[in-house]
Amino acid sequence: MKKMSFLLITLLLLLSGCGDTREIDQRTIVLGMGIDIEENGEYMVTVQVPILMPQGQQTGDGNNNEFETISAKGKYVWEAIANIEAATPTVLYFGHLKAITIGEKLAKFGVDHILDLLDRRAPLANEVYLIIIREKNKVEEFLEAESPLVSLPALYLDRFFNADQKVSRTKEVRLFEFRRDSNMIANTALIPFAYKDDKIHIEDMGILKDQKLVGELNGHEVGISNLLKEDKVKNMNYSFEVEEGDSTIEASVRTDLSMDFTYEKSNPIHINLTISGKGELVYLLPSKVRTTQKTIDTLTEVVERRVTEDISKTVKKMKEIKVEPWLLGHRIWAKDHEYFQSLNWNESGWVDSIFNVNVSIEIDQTGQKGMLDKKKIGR
Amino acid sequence: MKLQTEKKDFGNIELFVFIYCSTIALGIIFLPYISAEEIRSAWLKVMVGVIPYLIFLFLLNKVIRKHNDRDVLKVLKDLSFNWLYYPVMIYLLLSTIYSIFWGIKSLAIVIQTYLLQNTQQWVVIVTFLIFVGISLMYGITAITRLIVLMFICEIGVIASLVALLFSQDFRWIYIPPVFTVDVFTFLKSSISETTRYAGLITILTFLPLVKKETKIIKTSYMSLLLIMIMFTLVSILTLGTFGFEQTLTLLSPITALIQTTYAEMTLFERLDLFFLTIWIWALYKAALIYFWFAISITKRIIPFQKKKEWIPITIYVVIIMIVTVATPSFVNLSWEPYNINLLISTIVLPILLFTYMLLRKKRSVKE
Amino acid sequence: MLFKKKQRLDPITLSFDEYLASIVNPEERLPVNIEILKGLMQSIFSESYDFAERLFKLPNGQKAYLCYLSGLINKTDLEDNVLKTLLKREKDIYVSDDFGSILTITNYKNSTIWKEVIDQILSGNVLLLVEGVQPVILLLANKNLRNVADPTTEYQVYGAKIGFIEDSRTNVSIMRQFIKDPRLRSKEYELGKESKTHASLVYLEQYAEDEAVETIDSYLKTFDKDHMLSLGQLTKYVSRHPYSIFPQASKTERPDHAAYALTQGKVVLFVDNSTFCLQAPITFMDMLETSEDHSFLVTWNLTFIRLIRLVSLLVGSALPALYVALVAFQPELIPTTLTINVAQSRAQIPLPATAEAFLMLFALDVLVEASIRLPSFVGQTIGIVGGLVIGTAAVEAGIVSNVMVIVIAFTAVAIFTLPNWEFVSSWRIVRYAFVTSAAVLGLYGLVMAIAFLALHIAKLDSLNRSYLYPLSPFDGKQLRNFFKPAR
Repeated sequence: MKKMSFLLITLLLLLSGCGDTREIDQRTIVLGMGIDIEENGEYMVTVQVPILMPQGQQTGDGNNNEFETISAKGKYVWEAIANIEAATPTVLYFGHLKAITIGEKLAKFGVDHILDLLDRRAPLANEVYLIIIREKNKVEEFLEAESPLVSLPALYLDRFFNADQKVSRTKEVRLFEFRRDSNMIANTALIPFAYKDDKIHIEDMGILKDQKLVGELNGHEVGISNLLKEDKVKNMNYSFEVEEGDSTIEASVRTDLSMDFTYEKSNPIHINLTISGKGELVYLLPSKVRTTQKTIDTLTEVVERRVTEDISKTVKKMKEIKVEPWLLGHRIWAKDHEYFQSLNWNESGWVDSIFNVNVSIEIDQTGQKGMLDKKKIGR
Repeated sequence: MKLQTEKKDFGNIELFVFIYCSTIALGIIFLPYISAEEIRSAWLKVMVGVIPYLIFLFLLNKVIRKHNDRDVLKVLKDLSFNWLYYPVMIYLLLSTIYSIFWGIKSLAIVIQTYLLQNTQQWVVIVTFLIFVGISLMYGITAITRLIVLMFICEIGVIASLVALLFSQDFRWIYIPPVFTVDVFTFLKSSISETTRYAGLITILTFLPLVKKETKIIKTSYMSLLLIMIMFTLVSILTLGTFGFEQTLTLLSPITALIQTTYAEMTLFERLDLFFLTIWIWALYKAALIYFWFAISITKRIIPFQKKKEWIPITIYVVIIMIVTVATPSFVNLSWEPYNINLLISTIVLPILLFTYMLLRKKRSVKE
Repeated sequence: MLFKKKQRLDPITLSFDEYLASIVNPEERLPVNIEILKGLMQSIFSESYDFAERLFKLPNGQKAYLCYLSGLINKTDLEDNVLKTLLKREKDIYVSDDFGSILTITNYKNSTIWKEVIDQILSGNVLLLVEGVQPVILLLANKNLRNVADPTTEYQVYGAKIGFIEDSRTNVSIMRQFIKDPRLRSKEYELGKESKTHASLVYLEQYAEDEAVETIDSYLKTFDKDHMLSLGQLTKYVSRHPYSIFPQASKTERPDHAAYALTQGKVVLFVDNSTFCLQAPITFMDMLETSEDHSFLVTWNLTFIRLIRLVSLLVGSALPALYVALVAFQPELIPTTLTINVAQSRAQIPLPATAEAFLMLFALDVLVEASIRLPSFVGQTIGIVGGLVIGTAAVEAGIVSNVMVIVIAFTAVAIFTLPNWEFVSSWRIVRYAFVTSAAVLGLYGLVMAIAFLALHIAKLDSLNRSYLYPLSPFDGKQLRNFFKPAR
C-alpha cells in the first residue's frame, strides 16, 4: 500500500502543471457580451470586462470607469471572439457572463447558431440573460452605457432582472428558458428589448419564432403576455380618467392578476380565460372624493374592461403574425394529443381560435390613510 | 460517544446503503434519456423498469429460503456442473468489468464537460482509478463504512431535490403521461430503463457477509424503491423544468437543472458543480462496489488468500485504465450493446439461474 | 531504531539483568552477614553519590546496616520511626518478625532475592539488615510528587479545577473520588524491561466492552520495549494503525474528562511520570466533544456548540483547498461581485494561488509552533509580531492577497474550536494534503481527496471499535444523543 501511495504522489506531481490551472487574475472575466451582424454579413462581437485595479490604488480623479468594452469582427461568431482574445492580455473567460445582448438586426436574421455556440461553452451558465438591443443603438454602444446606479452595465442588467418587480413591463429570459420555449410546440420564445438614450431602458419583448424575430409586444401587452404564459402577473398598472356622476376622477390602480385556462373541444377551439385579480388603488384625484363603494365599483369596472381589451388586443396582434408564444397550444397538446392534432394549431388552429375572456377584479386595498370626509361640528 | 451498543457485522442499514450506492450513480446523472430513441414520459418507464428487479429479488429470496444459504453462488456451484458454473462466473466477471469501463467513461465525459475542460481525459481517468485501486486495498469493511457515512451526507441532497418541485420554472404541464406509442413500444423502450437498476447484481456476493438476523428481502425492496423514487423524481424535475425536447438533448439534465434553479438561492453562483462533487462521490462508491464485486467473483473462480488481493486489484485497475484511455471519447460509443449486455447479465441470466436452483432439489444434508 | 540495534550488538553494554548477574546471582537470597552485604551493595551501587548507607550498633550490641538512595526516601520517617525506635527499644531481634513490634512505620516486608531487593532500593525503599536476621525492606519510598493541582494544558471554563499528577497510583485514587463504584476496576502493569514504569488500567465493568479491555490488556502484557518513558510511545503501541494521521487514543490531564470517558465505556490508562492519561477506544465524534459540554444548563447550547465544531472542522480542513480550487480552476462558482473583488486583490500578486496558500499555511503553522512552548509573555509578542507581519505587512507588500489572509485566518481560528489538540494537529496535516490535491486537479481533486480521507477514517479502528461510530455503523439513537443528549 505504501508503494502505491508513493506512486500516487509521484504521479500527482507529474501531472501538476498541465490541465486547467488558470488563476482568476489570468482570466479576462467577460460579464456582458454583445453580438450583432454588420451590413456585409460579418459578425460584430463586443465583450464587456471589468478593469482589475489592485485595491487601494484607484485614482481619486472621479473618472473611475470600471470596465472596458472590446469589439472585434469576424466572418463567424467564434472567429470574432478569437479576434477579441487576440486583443486582450489574458484568456477570455465566460464563467461569469451575465447577459448576452443581441442586435435587432441579428435577431431578425436568426439567433440559433449563436445560441448553439454559447451552449457548448461549459463554464457558461445556462441562466444567462438574453436581451435584444433596439436598432437605434449599436450593440457596442449599449454595452458602453454607464449607469451611475450600478457600476457595470452587465451587472445593471443582472440586478434589474433579479429585482423581479417589473414583470408587467418586461420579463427576464434566460438562455435555458429561451431554448426550452423555442423547442415547444409553437417554437416561439420571447426576449426582452432594451435601448439606451441617456439612460438604460429595458422594456417590451421581442417575439422569436423559429429563433427569428417576428414581432414585438409593447406596454401592457407584455404584462398580458406574462399573464397568459405564467398564469399570473404582478403589478400591472392602469391609470385612467373616468366620469363618475357629475365629476371626473383620475385614478391609478395596480393589479395582480391570475388566470385560469380551460378550453372546449370544438373546431375551431373555444378558449375560456378566467382572469381574477386583486387591485390596489394607488392614486385618486380629487383626493377629497370619498372612496365609496360606488367609486370602487366604477374603478373596478374600468379596470376589468381595460384588461379584457388588452387581452383581446394582444391575442389579435399575435394571431396576425400567426404566432402563439404562451404555451397555450402546448397545454392542449399535453392534455389531449389527438384533439390537438386535429386542430393543426400552428397553421390554422391558433388563428381560428375563439377567445372568451372573463375578468373579475376586486379592489381591496385603497391605501387611504386620511379620513378626509369627516364633518366638522361647531366652529 | 457511548460505545456499548455498537454492532459489528453488516446489518440492515449497510445492506440498504450498499444497494442504493451500487445503483444510483450512473442512473441519476444521465436521467431521463440515454438511448437514441426515446418516448416522452420517461418517468413512467423508470417506474416500470424496476419490476424485473423486484422479480429478481423475489426469486433470490426464494432460493435463499429453499437452500437455507445466503451465498447463492455457492449454492449454484454445489448444484450445477463445472461446465455451467465457471462460464457463468466468467461471464459475470467480464460483464462487471464492462460496466466499470462504462462508468469510468461516463465520469470522464462529465468531468471534461463540466469541471476540467482543458485537462486530458487520461489524467481524469488515471487519477480516479489510482484512488479507487488504493481504496480497494482497504477492504470491504472500510468500504461499507464509507458508503454508509457518505449516504448520511447525501440525505441532505436528496431532500433538497424535492424543493425543486416548487421552483418557479417547474411546470406540471410538461409532465402528464403521453402515450403516443403503443404498449409494446413502451415496454420495449422501458427495457433500457431497466438497466439503470443493474447495480443490484452486486448483492450476490455481499449477502453472505450480512448478519443472520438481517431482513434481506424487506431492506432490498425498500432500497430499490428509494432508488426508483429518486429516478422518478429526477425525471419529473428535469422534464418539468426543461420540457421534453430540451431534456432530450442535454447531456446531464440534472446538472443543468441544478445550475438553473439553485443559482438564485445560494451563496455560490453555480451549485451544479457542487452537485457534481456529490456525484463524483457516488460514482467513486459505485466503482468501489463494482470492483469489489469483480474481485470477489474472481476469488470464486480462482481462490486466493486475502493478502494476495492486491494482485487482482492491480490487474483489473490496470486493464480498465488501459481500455478506457485507449478508447475514443464517449460520444462515439453506442449505448445499445452495453444495455443489452447489462440486461442479460443482471436480469435474464440470474433469473434463469434462480429458477434452475428452485427446480433442483435441496442439497444433501452431508454438506 | 537504527541506533538501538547497534547498541544491542555492542558486547560491552549489558542489560540490567546481565549487569546484576556479573556481581551477584540475582536469584539468590541476600546474605545475613553485614560485611558481605555491605561489600556487595557498594559494588552494585559504585560511583553513585546518592547511594547512602549507615552502619550502627543497637543498644544491645547487635550490628545493624541500612542502605538506600538518598533522594528517594522519606527521611523523617526513617529517623523517627526506624532509627529512633531501633535505638530506644532494647530488645533482642532474632527473627525479622520481631521488627513488627519495634518499628512504627506503616509497612515493611522480608527481603527475598537480590533482583527484587535491588528493584526495591531503586524505587526508593530502604534495606535494613540486623546482624543475623533476615534483611527486611522498609517501604519508605517518597517519590518527588507534586500536589494535585490545576491542569495546566487543558483549559476549561466549567470543569473541575483539578489535574492528574505524575503518579499513576495517585491518579487512580483521584478517579475513585469521581466514581464511587466498586465496578471501577483497576489493573496494574510494569512496562519496559528496564524503565519498569508503573501503569494502571482503569475501566468501569459492565460499561466498558470486555473485548476492548481484553485487547488493551493483551497489548500491555506483551509490551516488550526496554523503556516506556512517554505516553505517546504507549499510544502508538496500543494503536492498530500507528501510521495513520489520526490518533486512535486520546490524552487528557483532567479527571472529569477521564471520568466521563469511563462512563462512556472507555478504558483509561495511567502511566507513571505522565500527567496525562490515555483514553481508548475513541471515535471520530470524540473530536467534537468534551465532557465540559454537559456543564451547560441549556441543552441547546450543547447542540449549537457541537454543530459549530462540526462546521469548523470542515472549514478548518478544507477552506484553503476550496479557495485554491475555486480561484485557480473553477471561478464560476464564486459570486460575480466577489470574483471581481478576488481578482482585484490578486491583480498584483506574483505568486499563484497555490503557492500563496502553501506559504500562508506554512507561516501559520510556524507561528503556532513557535509560540506554543514560549512563556506566555514572549508568546504574546510572537503572536502580535507574526499576526502583524503575516496579516498586514504581507498584504501591503503585495506578497499575498488580502482574501487569502482572511481565508487562512478563518481556517486557523476554526480548527482550534476542536477541543483536542491531537486532532487539531492531525487536521493541520490533512489541510496540506487537501491543498495539494486541489492544486493539481481543482474541485475534482479536492473531492477525490475528501473521499479518500473518508475511506481512511472508515478503515480506522480503535481497540476493535469502528472509528466512525455512530455514523457508520449507523446508530441513529446515539447520533441524536450526540447532538441532543437525553435528559
